[in-house]
Amino acid sequence: MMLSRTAANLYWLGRHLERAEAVSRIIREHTKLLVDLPIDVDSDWAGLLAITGADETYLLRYSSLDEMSIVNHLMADIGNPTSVIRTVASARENLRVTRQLMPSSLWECVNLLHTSVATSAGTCAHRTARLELCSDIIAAGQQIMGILASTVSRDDAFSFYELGRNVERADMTTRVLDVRATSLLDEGAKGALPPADRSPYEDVRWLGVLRSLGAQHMYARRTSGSIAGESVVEFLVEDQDFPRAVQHCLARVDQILGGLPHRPHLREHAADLRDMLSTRSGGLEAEALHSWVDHMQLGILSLHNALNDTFFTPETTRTLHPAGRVVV
Amino acid sequence: MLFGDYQPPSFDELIDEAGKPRDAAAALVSHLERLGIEEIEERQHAANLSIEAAGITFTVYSEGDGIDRAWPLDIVPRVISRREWDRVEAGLVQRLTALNRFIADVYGAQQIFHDGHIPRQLIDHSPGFRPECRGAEPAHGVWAHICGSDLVRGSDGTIFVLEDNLRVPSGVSYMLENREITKRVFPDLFAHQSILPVDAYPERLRRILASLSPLGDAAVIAVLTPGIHNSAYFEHCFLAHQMGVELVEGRDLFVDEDRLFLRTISGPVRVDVLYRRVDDTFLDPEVFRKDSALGVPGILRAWKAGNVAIANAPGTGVADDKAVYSYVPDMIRYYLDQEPILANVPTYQCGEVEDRAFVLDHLSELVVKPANESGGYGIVIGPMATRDELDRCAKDIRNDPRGYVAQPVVNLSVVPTICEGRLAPRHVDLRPFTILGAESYVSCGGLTRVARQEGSLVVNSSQGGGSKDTWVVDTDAKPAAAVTEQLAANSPAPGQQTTDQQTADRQTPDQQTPDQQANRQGAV
Repeated sequence: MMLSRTAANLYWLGRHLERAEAVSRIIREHTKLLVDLPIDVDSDWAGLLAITGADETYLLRYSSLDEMSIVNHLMADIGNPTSVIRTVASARENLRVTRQLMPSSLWECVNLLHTSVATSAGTCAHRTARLELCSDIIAAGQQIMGILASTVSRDDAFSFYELGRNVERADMTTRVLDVRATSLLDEGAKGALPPADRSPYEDVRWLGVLRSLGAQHMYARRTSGSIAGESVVEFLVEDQDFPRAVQHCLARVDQILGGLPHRPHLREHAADLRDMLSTRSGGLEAEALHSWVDHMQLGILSLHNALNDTFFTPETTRTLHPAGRVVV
Repeated sequence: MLFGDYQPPSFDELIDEAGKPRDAAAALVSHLERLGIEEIEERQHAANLSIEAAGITFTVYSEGDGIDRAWPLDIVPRVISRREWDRVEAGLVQRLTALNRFIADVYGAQQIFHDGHIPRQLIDHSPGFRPECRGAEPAHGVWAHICGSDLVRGSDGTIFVLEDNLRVPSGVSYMLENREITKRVFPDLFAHQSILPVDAYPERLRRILASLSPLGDAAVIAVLTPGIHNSAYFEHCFLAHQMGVELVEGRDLFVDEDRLFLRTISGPVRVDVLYRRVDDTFLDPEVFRKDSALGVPGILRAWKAGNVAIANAPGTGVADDKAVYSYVPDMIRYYLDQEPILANVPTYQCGEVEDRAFVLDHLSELVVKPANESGGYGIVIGPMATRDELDRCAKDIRNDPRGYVAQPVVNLSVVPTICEGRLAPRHVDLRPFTILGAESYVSCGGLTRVARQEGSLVVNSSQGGGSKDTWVVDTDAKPAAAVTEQLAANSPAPGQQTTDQQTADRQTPDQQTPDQQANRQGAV
């Protein structure tokens, strides 16, 4: 038996934990990437704002697009609802009201993560401290995954957490592709140069895309090495086996829905989304990829809404924030 | 010397009048002396870290947003001998049994008023009295299933009952967490003497709750919490988790055809027993406060129709009132034909003309309490109050005499407590938990609350008090070392260092003899 409200909390727990880890990884890899690039190459910090959808709140609060302000906004700004600090706090709030369903080690881990982010997020302007903080958050995220993998029964509680995590993953991978891949493809198109004459940093930056999703090694194994834009996009969208590939996430969502009540119309949603994967044309044009990603994201949103209407019911879904606001 | 200049101002729970450790505390005191203050403080620090890591918190309302605070635990435990505890336990069951007979009577035939043992006005003016509950017949005739009494010990060593908390008493989760922490802090002491375990409580509570439904162990049980902003939310989660039942809020529940249901992902699920931690007035907006968003419309109908058991039943607050309190010894004599095992603190009813005159004349020597508050709110301690506070108090009493009672100051007993580089005496009380359904159970010890300021008698956590683990020590049990030798002689398997007493206490119900079970039943 599972309360509707609890199902919503666990789903959001999965989403928020995944988001905190994903954003930390993206920031960490971007920071490291800059070390490899000459200083005259555009460092594109603004792209990070677009990935997390934080550009609007950013422009309201800051006037220049500098590294320190952007990283601060993404990690430590409590005025940004998608910042790491807010995301971790929301994960903790969602777990706090469902902790009776989970092993106490999970609570201790999330609680410690929250304490450490709350005390050290402010240091993220400095690159060394930032790298350390991001690595700590990622390590905590992986510890949490480990606790869930080995000490939580595969029941409905786990299913809703997994749904949240996979919906968030599919969403995040498409966002990264949208911002990073389209900008890289754009540059390639502008130059219209044969591959041999392209910027020597292009493959470093495609590698950066893979690393920001923790996909470098599995990509290398799958493709035997060479980094090419086409195959990177293909891998991140269509690979059946890589956990952050959109295809894999959606297959997992479909599988989880199969074990839950009220599934037929929800599985149709998931099936529609997977159909959309195959509609992506093989060619690599920035414009086409961008509009395909838009399409995918609307599909993911509509799946989310269907989950909401079916399981959570709109007015009782979300945890009230301590200040009385609704946490999304 | 740790206890070299230790000077208790009243009865000390660990050290006797001659400055020697009491029997039950001897092992603890010598262990503390061996450790020395620096090591003790080190362990206190480690305990604080574990509390923080485990997220053991409580919330104080007066702090605006209700920010969580780490739970304050002083690692030096309070010790009680098992022999003394057995008496207290019997006294608590006796008291809760009589209180339940009283509540059933109040909402039933009202025989005790007809027979003239208690004045009827007491009820007519009680804000805890709910006429809507008349005629209800809860299972086993039990209305108040969970009671968190407040016990205090006076200078002469007598244990008094100070309050019977019958509404939604809290603290039991902290009792259990405190033990988890002290086991880590003093593992040696637990290995070498018989400290009665406390962790049976959640399972006994679950069984007693299940016994309120005809379905028994198959009953669907839920804990109803006001939500995350309630100061005891931590405990609501904790108990639901430990019992393996649902933790729900009012919005998760609805009533249809006088039956209570949960909203779940697979549709409505019937609830058979509700352990509610929401006050009566918020429980059912159809009957009590119309603006309550915490309750469930129609739940009182479902309860009166016998379709759901509610623990504690609505209306039990009528017996949890400082004016009713003074009549509990009479109830024990009237309903059970027994002498009270535990003493009451003498109580003056400001509603009575003579008592009121006495109270107003002796205000500076008495403790004045609102008859219907809990959590230490509104208490005026005469000897410590300023002239202004006393004047205001006198005015309040004249305006609402029935609203106040007064008691002589009980000079609460003390326990050595860590205070900046030394152990100093601090006043304590004790909140044990008594539960009653088809059987009864009393927690082994309870939650010891400690005032943190020198001389202060205010121990409530909501007023800045701290807490201690409470050890009921069986000094008659064979020392573990002897048992180990026996085990070594009799069996090749090492590591089963448990005394007979511990074994007996950990028995599951199935292992109890019929006599033991009958005793439990008889107590109800």
